Amino acid sequence: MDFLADVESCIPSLRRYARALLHQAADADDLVQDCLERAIGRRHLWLGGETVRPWLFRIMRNIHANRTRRFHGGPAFEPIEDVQAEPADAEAQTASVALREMRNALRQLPDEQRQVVLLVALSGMSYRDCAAALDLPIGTVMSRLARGRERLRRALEGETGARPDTLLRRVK
Amino acid sequence: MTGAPTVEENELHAYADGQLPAARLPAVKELLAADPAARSRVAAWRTQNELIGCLYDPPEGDRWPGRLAPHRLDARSRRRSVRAAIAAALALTVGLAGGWWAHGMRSTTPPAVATLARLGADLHRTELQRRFDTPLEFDPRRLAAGLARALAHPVAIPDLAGAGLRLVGGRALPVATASTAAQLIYVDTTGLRFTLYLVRPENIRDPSTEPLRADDLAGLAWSYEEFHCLLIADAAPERLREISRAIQAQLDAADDTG
Repeated sequence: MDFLADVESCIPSLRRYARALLHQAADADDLVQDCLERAIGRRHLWLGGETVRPWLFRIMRNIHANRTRRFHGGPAFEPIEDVQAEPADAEAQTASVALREMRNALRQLPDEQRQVVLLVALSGMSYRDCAAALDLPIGTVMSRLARGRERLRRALEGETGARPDTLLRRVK
Repeated sequence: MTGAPTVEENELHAYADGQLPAARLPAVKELLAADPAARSRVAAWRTQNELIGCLYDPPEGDRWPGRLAPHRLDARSRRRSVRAAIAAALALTVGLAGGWWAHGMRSTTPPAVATLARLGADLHRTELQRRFDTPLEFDPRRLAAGLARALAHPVAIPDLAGAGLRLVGGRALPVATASTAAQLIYVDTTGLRFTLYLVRPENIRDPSTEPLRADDLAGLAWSYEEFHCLLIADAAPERLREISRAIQAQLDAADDTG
């Protein structure tokens, strides 16, 4: 696959991760566009050895980190508030409750754990590529993933008393 | 039954994420069959992934807006780099013409390519009649040494004999925008003049070319890692292209050996 086609195949997951980093869908696409522009303008800096995907996520994470540092003095995480309009039927409402609980649980995670949990869930990357995208050793990624997921599990099951399979059935 | 197999927690995560190497699948499946707690953890992690996916899925799914199209961003980036090359090269020639242009250049965005091309062509045409502060250097070896000093970067003067061009001379020109450029003048067998400007870029760009034409003069601007290049001559676009290829081949050869 050529470079531009490779980049294109990463756009859907970059958009999801951008939406997780920011709180407005429009801003999220701006972040993706800035990331793509930088990557394409500097493609000679991309070392052919690694796949394009972790490199793109690293660029996006850096752009975002620089901006939030500049504006807020620290990395910020604000989940999208208007994720879904309130659904009409009861089944869908339960699903929306599960999503809201997940959002709250994510908010309570330490930044470093949330970063890894989100990247693994949204980027479609292997653990090794996630580690490359975050500039972390893979062991650190795995331990943060394990701790983050355990915290989420306790938060979700603690609040609803629901077993994971029923929770998922509600969303689907 | 031989008892539960040895499976690391990381392998359970990998299984939940669909990243487990196939060779380890049987062991993990065996463990899961025997260990309800592990089964429930894996199920919980998968649910987490699904919920996170639902939270951040764009409403329109995997369709993304056209402004993100990589080929479009790529074309724009190339246009921009060509514009930067032309602006840099022309800032130089205009700087010599009196500096008025350079002044405007710093404070505003680069004018349209066509305007710059016409300006460059005018300068090129009238240049012969001008009296430069910097005289032309005719000795190739001293020229190369002088350019390397002035640009703080080695300049391999392209030998274009293969394309039928002879080097007349060259000089380091002060660029109005706080840098220096090399100006190299060649003539072909009919006496037609080709002027090549090499400007060190502040930002490294991708190689790209874009033809310009203003009145009877034509130019070609392109960039690569080492230099922004502007070639100006009253020649057909095909001829310009041919000569620009010869120039780039010489510059690349110099890079490889140096």
